[in-house]
Amino acid sequence: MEIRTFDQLLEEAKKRGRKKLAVAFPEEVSLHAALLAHEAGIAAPVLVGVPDKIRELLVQAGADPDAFEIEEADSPAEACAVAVALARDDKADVILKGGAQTAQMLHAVLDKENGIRVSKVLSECSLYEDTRVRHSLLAVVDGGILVAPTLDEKVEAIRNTVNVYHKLGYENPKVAVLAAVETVTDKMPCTEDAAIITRMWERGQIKGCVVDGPLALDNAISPRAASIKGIGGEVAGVADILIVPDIEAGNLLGKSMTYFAGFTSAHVTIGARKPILVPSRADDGRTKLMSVALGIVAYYQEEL
Amino acid sequence: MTPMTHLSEIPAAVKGLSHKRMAVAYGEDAHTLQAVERAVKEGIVDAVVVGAKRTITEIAGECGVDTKLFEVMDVEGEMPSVKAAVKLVRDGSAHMLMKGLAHTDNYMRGILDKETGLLPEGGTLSHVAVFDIPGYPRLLVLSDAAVIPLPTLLQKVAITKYAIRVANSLRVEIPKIAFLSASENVLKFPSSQEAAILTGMAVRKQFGNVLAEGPLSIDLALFPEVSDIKGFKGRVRGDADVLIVPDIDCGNVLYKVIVRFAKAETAAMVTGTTAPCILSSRGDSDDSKFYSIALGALNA
Repeated sequence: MEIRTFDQLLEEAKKRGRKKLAVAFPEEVSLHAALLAHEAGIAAPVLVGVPDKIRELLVQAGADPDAFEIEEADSPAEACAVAVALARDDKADVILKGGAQTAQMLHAVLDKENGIRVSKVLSECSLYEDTRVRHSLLAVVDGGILVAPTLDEKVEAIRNTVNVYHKLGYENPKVAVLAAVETVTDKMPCTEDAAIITRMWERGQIKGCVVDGPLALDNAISPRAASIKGIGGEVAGVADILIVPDIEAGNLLGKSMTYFAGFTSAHVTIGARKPILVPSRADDGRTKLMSVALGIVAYYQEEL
Repeated sequence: MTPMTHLSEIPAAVKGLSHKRMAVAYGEDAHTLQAVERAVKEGIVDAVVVGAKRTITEIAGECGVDTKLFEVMDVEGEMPSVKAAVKLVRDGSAHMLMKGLAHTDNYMRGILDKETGLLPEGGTLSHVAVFDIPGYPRLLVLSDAAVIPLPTLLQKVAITKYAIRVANSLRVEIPKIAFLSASENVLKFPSSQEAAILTGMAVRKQFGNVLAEGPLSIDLALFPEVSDIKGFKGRVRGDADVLIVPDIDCGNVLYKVIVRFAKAETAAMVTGTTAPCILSSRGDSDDSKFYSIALGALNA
């Protein structure tokens, strides 16, 4: 079954039982996310940081300070390294970044000796729950990590995201490579990348999905817009995954859906052996919880 | 309308059109005069041969060409003759140009002259060849094998448009275009990626009513059985009408291999100009010259 709502996503996460969630240097934001996931019955947090500080935070949050597993680390950087080590040793299933810099977290993940990168690139997959028009989930890739992705990085980000969608029950997710227009022009290099990526898909160089591009946002997600423009194919109008040209486009598109349309989102960084969650202070509780659920479902494997 | 399958169908098609007049630049050699004589006699074009009248008459006498078949415009010297012939086309008193004894460089210089030449603003001078290969079921249009050494993406867009127009003139209603490269997989080198981009443009109908596929290796482009063996599913499966090559080296080698090994008859012309320009060389067969003139007239 294709997961099409966040409630379904949460149900799916619950089926896995409590998964170990390593929180690197918890502060209020990440602790809140961890506690929500714990309450929902999908996560068993492992809090990595200064034990006294963590207990103090737990008390402040109204939680039992002795009810959670704590791993000691003196600094944010060390906490990242410990969290990654837990993930590497399968003592953690999902990593949640706390009061460490994103760069510190990525540094630990990408470390050649001790890191856990598996894909050629790390990318962010942001899911938005469209409760108004399409009543489905829509992924935006990448509004968080890949700043100005090269052609190769875009292809890897597609592969990363397609893997997530397979876990969400989509056999052949529909990937739209976005630009401002659906035509190809040398004046907009992202349209050229989109054309190349589409040919790579046609040649079987990108598997497990359907790809079309360039597509403008409207003809990617609106069957009406696609039909007015006369764009056929399996993706136009019904895309599941939107590959944006760069981080600005992804960020603006994502935040537009959050703030203008009021869609709930969930965010996960993929391309490592375990999913990594980088919560934002502005995230509401549902986004925090669904991000953990997404991390769990996206990476759950029967056998590792 | 059935697509033409042989170059020999072009003359008949030309005869159905309004009569075309050809200006011959520096027509002071026997090869040129004989080609002109045949084209006029077969009713393909009228001709005005530009060059020294005395010399033209003399050479015509030697090779038995009847000078009454065409007009002679008396101009002394190679470059002045080229310029005068180009001017006839530019002024509209001729519909197409043909190279005579003039060196290709000088001929091109006349065509390319910004003030007095035949290249419109934004035009891309390029070359289109059509092959009639014995035993092969369709005519093949190839570009660019002769003019632009390393075409940019934008030049390839222009080349493709001209080649499509030529294919249309051969009654191929929806040309199948192959953007050639070494492999059908999209690889990291420019010709492969440009072929993918050009295909994307075609898919988005930016070339009008065509079917395109690329990158495509030439065997997949031209032989359906290869597509079958490789399980290749594309818009073009061994049935390409138009071949767009990555660069002049590839195009030129392909051209000569087709002519020599496959014993093809050819017709060719310069495109991107306001009127077709024939650029045959002495090495071309008489038929090839004749078909080139006919192709020019068909597209004039």
